[in-house]
Amino acid sequence: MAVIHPIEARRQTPWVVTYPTLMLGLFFLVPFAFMIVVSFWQRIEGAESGYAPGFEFTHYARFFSPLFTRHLLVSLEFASLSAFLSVLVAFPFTYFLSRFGRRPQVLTLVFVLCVLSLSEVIVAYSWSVLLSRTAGISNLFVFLGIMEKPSSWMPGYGAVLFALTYFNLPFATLIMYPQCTRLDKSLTEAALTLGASPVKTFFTVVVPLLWPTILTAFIVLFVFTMGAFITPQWLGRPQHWMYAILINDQANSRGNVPFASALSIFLMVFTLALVAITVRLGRRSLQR
Amino acid sequence: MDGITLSGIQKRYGSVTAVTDINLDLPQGKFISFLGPSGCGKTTLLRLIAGLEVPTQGSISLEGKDITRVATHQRNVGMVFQSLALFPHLSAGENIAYGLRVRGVDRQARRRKAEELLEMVQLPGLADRDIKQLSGGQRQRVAIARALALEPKLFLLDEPLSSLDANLREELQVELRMLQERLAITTIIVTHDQREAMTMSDLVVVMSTARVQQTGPPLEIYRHPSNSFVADFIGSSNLLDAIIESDQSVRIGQNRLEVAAIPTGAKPGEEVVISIRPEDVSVLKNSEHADNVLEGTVSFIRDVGASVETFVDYAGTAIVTISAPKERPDVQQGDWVQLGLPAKACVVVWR
Amino acid sequence: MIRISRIIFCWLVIITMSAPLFIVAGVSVNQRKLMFFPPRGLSLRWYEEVFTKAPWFEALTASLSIAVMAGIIALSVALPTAYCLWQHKVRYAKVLYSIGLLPFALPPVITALGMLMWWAQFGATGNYWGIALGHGVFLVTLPMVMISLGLESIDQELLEAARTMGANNTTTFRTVVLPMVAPYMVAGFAFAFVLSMNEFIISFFLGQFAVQTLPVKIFSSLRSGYTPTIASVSVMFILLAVIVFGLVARFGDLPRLLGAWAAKDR
Repeated sequence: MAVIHPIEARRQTPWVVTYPTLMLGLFFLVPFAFMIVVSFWQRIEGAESGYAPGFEFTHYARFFSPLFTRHLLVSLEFASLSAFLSVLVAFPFTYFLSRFGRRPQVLTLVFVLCVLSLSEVIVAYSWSVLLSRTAGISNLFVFLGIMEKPSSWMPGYGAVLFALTYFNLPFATLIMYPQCTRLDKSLTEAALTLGASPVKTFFTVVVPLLWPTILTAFIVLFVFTMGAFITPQWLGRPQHWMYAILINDQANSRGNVPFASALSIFLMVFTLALVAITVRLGRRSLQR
Repeated sequence: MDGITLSGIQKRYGSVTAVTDINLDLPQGKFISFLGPSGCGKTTLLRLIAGLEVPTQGSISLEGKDITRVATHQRNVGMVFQSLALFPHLSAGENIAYGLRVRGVDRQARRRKAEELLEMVQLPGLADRDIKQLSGGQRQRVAIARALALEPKLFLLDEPLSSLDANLREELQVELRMLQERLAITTIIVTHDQREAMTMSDLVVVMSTARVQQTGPPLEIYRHPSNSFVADFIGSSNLLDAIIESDQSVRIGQNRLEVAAIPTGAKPGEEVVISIRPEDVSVLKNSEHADNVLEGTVSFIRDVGASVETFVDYAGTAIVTISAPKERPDVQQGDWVQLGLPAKACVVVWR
Repeated sequence: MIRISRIIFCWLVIITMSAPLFIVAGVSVNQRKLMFFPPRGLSLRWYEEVFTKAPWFEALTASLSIAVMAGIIALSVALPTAYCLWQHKVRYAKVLYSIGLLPFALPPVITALGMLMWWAQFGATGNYWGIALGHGVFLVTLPMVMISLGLESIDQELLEAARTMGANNTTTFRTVVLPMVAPYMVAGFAFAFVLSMNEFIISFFLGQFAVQTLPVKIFSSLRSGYTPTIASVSVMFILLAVIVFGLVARFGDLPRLLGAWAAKDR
């Protein structure tokens, strides 16, 4: 039996990569590239296929109209706020979770995973029920005497923000979980022996050391939420609609695929730019 | 009164007992070791004193005040952890000054104090160095400086030297002892290395299986171990099963052994163990006399350079004698020899 | 004191996170068609409907079969990619791994649109395979990251020991690597499966209403009128997740699979 010399094996590109390359290339990269190409194509009104090869920038020019700019800003606002709020709540939660005993930790993790597996559809639907007048939490508050009569808290800005934040919570937890568990317990104990109260320890030792993962969670959630589709539609008014809804509208309802592609590319570039800036800022704050 | 007192301390984790029945009076200003094998509870005891664990039963008092329910961050203890626990996101100087920062001391004063402490541990000028760039010994010293920055009443160290190589370890042992003497601070060190404990401490607390086995100055523990565990753990020792015969002698097999003292309350016929250090046993030359003589065959000779160990098989048990190279017994493997055991060196110990 | 406030905080978060679960469960057993909570009168008829009414049942089977296929596809792409990065330090392995991370680095709507357009060119929209492939490729990231984690925890010395005993690369992989990475593969599959069941936007774009997965069906039926069958479907989703992840937790080391360090890793 021939034993492949380990060093040799590492120099050549192994044959194993052909399958994944094919799959990812064919079904992910190529569609992507195609989309970029189409974004420059012409839109033909009334024609059967709706668009034809060409090269123009008309679609890209439309971004800067007030309508689309407004929706971009709304998307930006919702995505960044909900990511921020999610991380704010999820970080202490995840940190405490990592300090639980084994049994409670596993149970909570299973719970979080189950919540994670709720589709955006189900989450939006549930919160539309919970925030409604007839069947919502406000009835509970009336029962407890906090409110006088039940009211509807949706559709509205708050409802959308709340649901988006909610949807992001389990993701945030799972992203930050690994690093939280890896924080050496003796570091917090050392801080205690040096006179720092548990709260002080949290802010002077735990947060600085886990800052990279907090930032990562924020960025991932931000990107994801920029693609929110159902939540703004069901829990918000048209002025709260986010970019993904526009893209769908253009592509599926109006058949203006080139424009939809252009919108997508623009969204992607914009999002990636913001991510890059955030990463840069995050790194700089670390070197304080 | 002035130091630490532990009364009736017990710590249980569910069904596991980590320490139990701990009653100690540790004097102020002394160098104390908690010595024992892994799992004996010594680290738990240290953490109880630091407040990182709360006892299931019992109380702890410091300088007369009950601190059992006082939280760690209010106890003012300086602790060096086994992993050192230096904050990776702070420089060496910032690590040392952390406690001062928590107290609200201003930056200049903090800097000065950090530099002072670095001088004290012989690392001048390293205040701005990144922790990752320091060597093992340097990080050790930074951890020590950090623990002492707030001038605590207690200085606690959890196996501080176990990760260092032999040379560095010895060097730091001496330095730690000198530091402690200079500062006159009550110091407790946890270790499993009995040589370390013996060399550095004023007082040794020997522990095993969650209990204190013996407390006392190193030499006393060495010379008068109170039970066979202590005798065996502290330095190497020969242990021989025996039965008490009279108030001055015991019987081992067919031989009668005169001993220095029989513990009070011991009755003839009781089973005990005789402990005698290898350095007290000698291979008798032809005309030599000794209080007690045991005979056996040389089974093995080990020359470790600085000393020679001769293993003699006596009725199935190996008795070891250590001698300096110059006084090496003139015997070979297989020889029939006589071993001399002075009565004074035969310590009777409970099984 | 601190301990208690920590526990209270965590419970608050948990209760908030579970609120929708209760709603959905409560509504699903409500006897009448209206959206009342607390439920007035209990009934299981909405659960029956999922299995008896054709559109719902079709959606259920569609979701399940797509999820299984997607899981397999995702795993099949993730394993070689993670393995190459781990064993072979060629630059291309890193590139491939980065591409694998890409689907999660973009708002999903973009991926969905791209796929739709590409396949529309071939008229291949509105079929199961399309959606399965779409999910499979989109969901590669998570299994890939998990398998990487698992591979990293394998001590290189184990492989070297196998080699000294005469095993070649294939045998080493089969007898040493695979068994050790299997739990991570199972966990990766479980994640991909559950995420595929719940995925909306790609299914929506690629299905074009010809094929409807459960989330899409819920979406469209809510447009046309409310029915509590939606809620019962949701409950079934939740139960499915509980079973899947409960099993993973029972037979595997869940914290470890999610990236925690075991004490012995230090």
